[in-house]
Amino acid sequence: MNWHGHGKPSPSMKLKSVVLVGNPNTGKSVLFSELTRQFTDVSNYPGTTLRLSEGHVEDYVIIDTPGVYGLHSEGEDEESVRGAVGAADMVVNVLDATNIERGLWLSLELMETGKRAITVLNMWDEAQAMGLVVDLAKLQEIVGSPVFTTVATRAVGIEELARAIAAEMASTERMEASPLSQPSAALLTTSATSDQPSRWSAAIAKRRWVEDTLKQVLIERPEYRGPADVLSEIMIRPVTGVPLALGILGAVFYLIGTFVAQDLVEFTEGVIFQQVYEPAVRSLVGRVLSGPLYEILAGEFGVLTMTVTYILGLLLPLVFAFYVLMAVLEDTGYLPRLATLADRTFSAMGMNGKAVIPIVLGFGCVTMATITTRILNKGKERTIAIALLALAVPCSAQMAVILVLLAGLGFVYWALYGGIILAVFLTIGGLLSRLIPGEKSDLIFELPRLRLPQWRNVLRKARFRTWVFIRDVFPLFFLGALIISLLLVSGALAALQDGLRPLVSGWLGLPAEGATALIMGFVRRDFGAAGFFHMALTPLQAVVGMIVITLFIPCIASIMVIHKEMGLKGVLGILGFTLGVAFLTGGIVHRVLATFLGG
Amino acid sequence: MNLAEVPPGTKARIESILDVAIREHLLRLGITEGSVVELVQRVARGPVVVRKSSLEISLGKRVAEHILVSSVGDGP
Repeated sequence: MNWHGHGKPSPSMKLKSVVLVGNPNTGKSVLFSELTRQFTDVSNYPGTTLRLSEGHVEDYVIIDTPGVYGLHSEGEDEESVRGAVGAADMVVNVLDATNIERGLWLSLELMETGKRAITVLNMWDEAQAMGLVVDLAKLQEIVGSPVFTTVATRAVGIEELARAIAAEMASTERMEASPLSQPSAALLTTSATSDQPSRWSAAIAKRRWVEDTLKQVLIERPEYRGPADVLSEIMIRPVTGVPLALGILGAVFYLIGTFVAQDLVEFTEGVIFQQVYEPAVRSLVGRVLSGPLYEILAGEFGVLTMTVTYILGLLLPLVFAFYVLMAVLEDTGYLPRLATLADRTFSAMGMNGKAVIPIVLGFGCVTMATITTRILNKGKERTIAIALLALAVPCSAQMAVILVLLAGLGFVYWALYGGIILAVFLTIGGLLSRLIPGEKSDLIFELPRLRLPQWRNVLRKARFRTWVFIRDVFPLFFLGALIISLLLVSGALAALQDGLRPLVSGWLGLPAEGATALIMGFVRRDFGAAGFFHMALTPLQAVVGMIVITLFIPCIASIMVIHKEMGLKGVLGILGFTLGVAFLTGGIVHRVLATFLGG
Repeated sequence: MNLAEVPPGTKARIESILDVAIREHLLRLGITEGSVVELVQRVARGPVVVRKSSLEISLGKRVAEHILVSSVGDGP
């Protein structure tokens, strides 16, 4: 997936193009990365590639596509893949070698297009470990295109494949499929018809072709059960799976909350930036400037002091750690199993279990997760998922600040914060499910084989996403710091704090400076959370502040994505909705807790 | 009997799939009338997970209820 856009929607005009096509989760994107030496986001669950991306190789482009099961069904993905195949000079059909049967349907539909093709059996190592024996020559004969085997994640077989693609692209001659492999004429003419009965009989004919081909090609298929299958069953059996899920979640937050948020950040933020970097900047800027300009550059909210410290000292280590753990979760294939367990809970919120994937990814980056909601089939499901992401899922940057802020307060306040956010999540989800018309879609979700994460891919992915984060967040934080500093030196900040006092102090029970944090929250929620960082807060105020800022409006990048997905009305709706719920919840929590805790 | 009623660990033969969209989707995954699937796991009031050769699919409760099956006992 390519959520910050160096992927262009359409292939470049005059260049010849090769399109990678295959079922979801067959490793097209890893192949694409290897063939183009360009990174695309890949994971071990279906649907990671949500739009076309292209990379240049010599004098042609290679296009990566979202995974599909066929070319002729309805759906945005099928449509875009159909278009890409139509426009391409050659097709590279990627199959999962451990499950050839699954990919053959698409192979047949690709053959019907008459495009020049290369067939790739990826994950060849796993197929061999399973004891599968495949007659490659026979497969080549039937599909009428050269067949290659690869292990994309370890770059095995890539060079041969790249050479073959280059050779095919260089030759102008068209490959003729052998007559044996041609699907029947009846199949060709009925595949795109909407007429129900003939469409069904065409489908049956295709299915028969798949089974025939499989019989000829797959020489041996032993009943294989490895440790991965045992682990998989543990993950999806509720008795063991639910504690495991909670354990994994707990471990993620414990690891990050203690090692990274406390020990590491204490060093990066506390020592490197506050004791070394900031004093150096202050004395340097102080030598040349004074007054308001000094305040803007190196003061309390200075663009060279606070901004740089927050981003590099505080957020960078935490965001990177989150992304590494997210990448591990993604690459093992755990998330679709979690979706199975979560289906019941998410059904109560008008979505199916698949929605757990964007929600979990939201803990990495809400913006990216908002794009990932495209794996949900129905408009209603997407609206609810986007609204919940915008409202109640703190992204890694925000979580980072929250973890640090709540770190010293102890378990009770942790549980309080987590419990209240979860309660808001479930309540609002249930409400939206009732208020938004429409139905949820049925869950039909493939469980990919469990795999050990490939560290190369995990680190590459985490590095790439962290880089995107830093790149996007720097200008916003600079801008935010500039605005706050300007408000401060002009005296407007004091006036705003006064004006917001009834809301901030009266309703939420926060100190008046809390208004600054909320104003900062308009720039980014994590920026806002960071605004609470050096305020003297009682534990109760810290919890209320963190709840309000968690539920607060999503960051500008998210808003831009929401605009793309839901339009201006959607954006305004989300803004009003998140602000309303944030202040309502914050005020109620303050009142209730103050009564009980006497704070 | 529908697929949601099949006990985990046993196999079932699919007799008919009552919903056109589900039928088409599953056919593409290689599951159709006549296929024998193994029920791997059943989440109470939730989805079932079925296996056919090396493919494992999670099917929501409503999907499972729309798939009529006959029992073929345990083991292969």
